[in-house]
Amino acid sequence: MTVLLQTEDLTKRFGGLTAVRGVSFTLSFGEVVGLLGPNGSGKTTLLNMISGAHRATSGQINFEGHPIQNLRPDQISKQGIARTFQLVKVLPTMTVLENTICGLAFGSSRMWGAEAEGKAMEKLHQVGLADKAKQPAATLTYIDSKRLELARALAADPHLLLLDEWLSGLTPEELQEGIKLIKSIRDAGASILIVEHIMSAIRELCPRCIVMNAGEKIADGLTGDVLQQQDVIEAYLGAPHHA
Amino acid sequence: MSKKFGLFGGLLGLLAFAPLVFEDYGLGLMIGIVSYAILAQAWSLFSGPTRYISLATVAFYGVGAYVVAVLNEDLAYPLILLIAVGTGLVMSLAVGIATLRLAGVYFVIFSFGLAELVRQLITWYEVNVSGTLGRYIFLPFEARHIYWMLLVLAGVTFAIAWWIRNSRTGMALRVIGEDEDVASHVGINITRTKLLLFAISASLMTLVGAIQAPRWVYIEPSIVFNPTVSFLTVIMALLGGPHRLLGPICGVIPLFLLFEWLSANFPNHYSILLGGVFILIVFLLPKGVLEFVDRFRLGGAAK
Repeated sequence: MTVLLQTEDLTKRFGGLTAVRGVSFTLSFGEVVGLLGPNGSGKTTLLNMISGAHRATSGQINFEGHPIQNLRPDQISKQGIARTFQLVKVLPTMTVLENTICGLAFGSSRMWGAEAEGKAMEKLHQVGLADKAKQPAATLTYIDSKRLELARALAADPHLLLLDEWLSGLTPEELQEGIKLIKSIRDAGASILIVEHIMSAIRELCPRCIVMNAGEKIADGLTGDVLQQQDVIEAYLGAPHHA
Repeated sequence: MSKKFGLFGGLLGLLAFAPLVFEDYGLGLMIGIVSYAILAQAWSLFSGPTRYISLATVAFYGVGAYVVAVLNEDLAYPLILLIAVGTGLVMSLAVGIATLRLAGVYFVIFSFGLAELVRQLITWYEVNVSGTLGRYIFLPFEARHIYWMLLVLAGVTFAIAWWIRNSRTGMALRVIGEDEDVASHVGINITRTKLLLFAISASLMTLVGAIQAPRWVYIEPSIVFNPTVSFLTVIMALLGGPHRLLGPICGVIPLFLLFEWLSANFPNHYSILLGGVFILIVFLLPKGVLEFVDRFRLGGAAK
């Protein structure tokens, strides 16, 4: 399989705190990989380095064969990486349609006018928000805001989609809907890196997953196997002799 | 859309006849209103969507006037105007690169300080190097000529504002104003976009100062770098609503007339009254009068 994303010995320090320490992994074209680990294990920091929100202290990130670790987020977006945020970020005073057009107008696709509107509506249909296109984003419910973020991220047909706890905070029914939605995106051939806490979602969506603990990668493999691994269980539940 | 443009052009054409109707005082008022309309519109271009409150208006405006004062005897007037725009552009780019990373209140304070800094620098230069504090401007312009030039500039400014609003750059600015994280992650080069708009806005302000300069005949730093100009521009734009195309002008007309009346009738208490008006506007109409009217109308329609 062709490698889409590859990180090599990636490290991020904030002052004296090492949030991510020497993480190397690859993500192949068309692959959906789960990234899990307890709170504070460095998942979001890793994602932030890939999207350019944080600059890596050391190490390399290659995307489609090019190093991107020194690029700004807007440059990385133009390379074809899109993301959602852990704390959902929609643009409240702009309409749902305008929010989606944002994802199209500036990144890799640079669409504008009627063409951009058409494409944005298509994405809103895909996430089930088409009937709310004219509303200001501030009027949306929590799950609809999440859908909108997803539509914006999908708008430019990214080569790689980064989802940062997109499924968290949903009710059980919404979670099922959310999983279905991401499945449909996955089945359309997208490459996705999913940061998630919810085990059932990871099991359903990601054939492979990576586990982090205290900034380091502790496991990487088929989801079923990894979740059986002793150190993964300990990272989540604590070692038996501590209990 | 072409209908709106026709209406807009027709209105400007009609306004061009004002010098035939008004006497000196009336024309002076018109010049003031058109000047502030341009300043408030130029200010809103940048500050409306990004929500960077800039108090640097008078820094550019004053520099425009000074360029004319320094060069008026040596060069042809159109060339002087060109140099004024160039000066405003260069100055705004330099200032922008240095400061547009500042957020919120730091930018406000910096922009206010900038105007004072420019004023002090020019004062220092005039006293120590050129050995004079004031300068004379002898250009063969009457009030109506200045008025017409300002009217053309107003037309250009509104056209630029309209065009930007409907362009990709306009949307980029709005996204930046709402959330810079989202802006950069959808591919917007934040620094470049802010810088571009700041420079356009500043160049227009510089031109207002340059065109108005012949009105004064005699200028010195304390006249053309009066901070009240910056404050008035902000409050006029805020009253009308800086997010709307016609917001600034809706704030300019009533406030300019009010301030004119206040300064004529209460010259000693002018600043206090001005401050009172500022506070009232910010408290009562934080989003501008057009937003208020809209909400009222929509609220009525919903019921």
